[in-house]
Amino acid sequence: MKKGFSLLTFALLLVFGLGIGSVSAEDLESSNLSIEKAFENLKEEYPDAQLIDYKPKDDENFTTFDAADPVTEVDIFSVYSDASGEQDTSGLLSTPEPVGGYTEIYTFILGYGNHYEYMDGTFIPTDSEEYESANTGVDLNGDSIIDGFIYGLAFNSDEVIPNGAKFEHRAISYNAPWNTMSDFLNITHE
Amino acid sequence: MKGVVEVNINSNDSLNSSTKLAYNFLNKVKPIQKSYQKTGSISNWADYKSDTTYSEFKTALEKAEMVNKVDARSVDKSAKTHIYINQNYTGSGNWNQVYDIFEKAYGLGMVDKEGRLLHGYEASV
Repeated sequence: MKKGFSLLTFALLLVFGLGIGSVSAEDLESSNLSIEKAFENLKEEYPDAQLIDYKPKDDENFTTFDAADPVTEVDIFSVYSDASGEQDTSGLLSTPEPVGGYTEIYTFILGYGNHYEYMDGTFIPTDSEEYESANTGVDLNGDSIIDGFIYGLAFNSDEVIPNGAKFEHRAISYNAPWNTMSDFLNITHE
Repeated sequence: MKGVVEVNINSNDSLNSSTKLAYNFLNKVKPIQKSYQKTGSISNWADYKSDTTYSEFKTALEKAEMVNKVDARSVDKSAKTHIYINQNYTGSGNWNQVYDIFEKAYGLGMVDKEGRLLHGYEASV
C-alpha cells in the first residue's frame, strides 16, 4: 500500500512537471545539479522511480493556445457629438463636421496590443476624470475568437477641446513583431 | 447634420451602459463585421450601418411597440457570440442586461434579416 502510494506521489510529481516542491530545469541549471544527480536523490525516497528521457517528435509540438495576433490596423472610424450627429471618419484626416457638446470617438484596433490615446499630444489615462473609456471585443469572422477591439472615448468637447484638437490612438503589439501602429484625426469644434 | 439640433436627451448615457453597448453592437460592430467579410477591410463600415440614432433606438425600446413583424425573431448567432466573447474576455459592461436588450430589439423586429438596425423608427413608433 505504501509502495503504491509512493508511486502515485512520484507520478503526480511527473505530471506537474516536477514543479511543486521539487527541482525545476532552471534550478538545475543555476545549481549545477545534473538531472541524473537530482534523480538519484529522488530515488532514495522513491526507489521504483524511473528516469525516462522523452523528447517530443516534431509533429507532436502543439498547444491549445496560440500567440495573440499582432496589431495590423488602427482606425479612428467614428465620431459622434450632440452637435454633429454620427460621422464616418475612417481614413479621414479631420472630422467632416465640427463637434459640439457631448462627444464620442471610436477606434477599431485589429489584433492585440497595448493602446494609448492622446489629445493634442497629451496622454489620456484610463482613469481620467474628463473622459470615459470603454472597450468591446469584436469577432470579425464568426469563429468566437476576438480579432480586434473597439475603443470608445466620451467627453464634453465644449470643456475639453473648445478650440478643437488632434486625437491620436496608438497601439503596440503584444507579440512579434512588436510593431507600433497609430491613427490620428483632427477634431474641429463648432 | 450641420446646424441640426438633435433631441438627444439620452445620448450621453455611459459608454458602458447596457443600452449603449447593445446599440454599438448593432450599429458599429455588425457593420464592421459586414465590411470586413465583404471587402477584407473595415473602412466601408458606414455602408452597412443604419441612420437610426441612439436616441431613436432607446425610444423604440422604451415604447416596446412592434417595429416590423416580418423581422421579429429571436437573437441571432452573431449577437450571442458577441455576448459570449465579451462576457468572458472583456471587463466592462453588464452583458446579461445587453442580452436582454438584444432579445427585446430582435423580438420587436428592430433588426432586419441582414442584421441592420431598421431605419425610420420615428415613423414606426
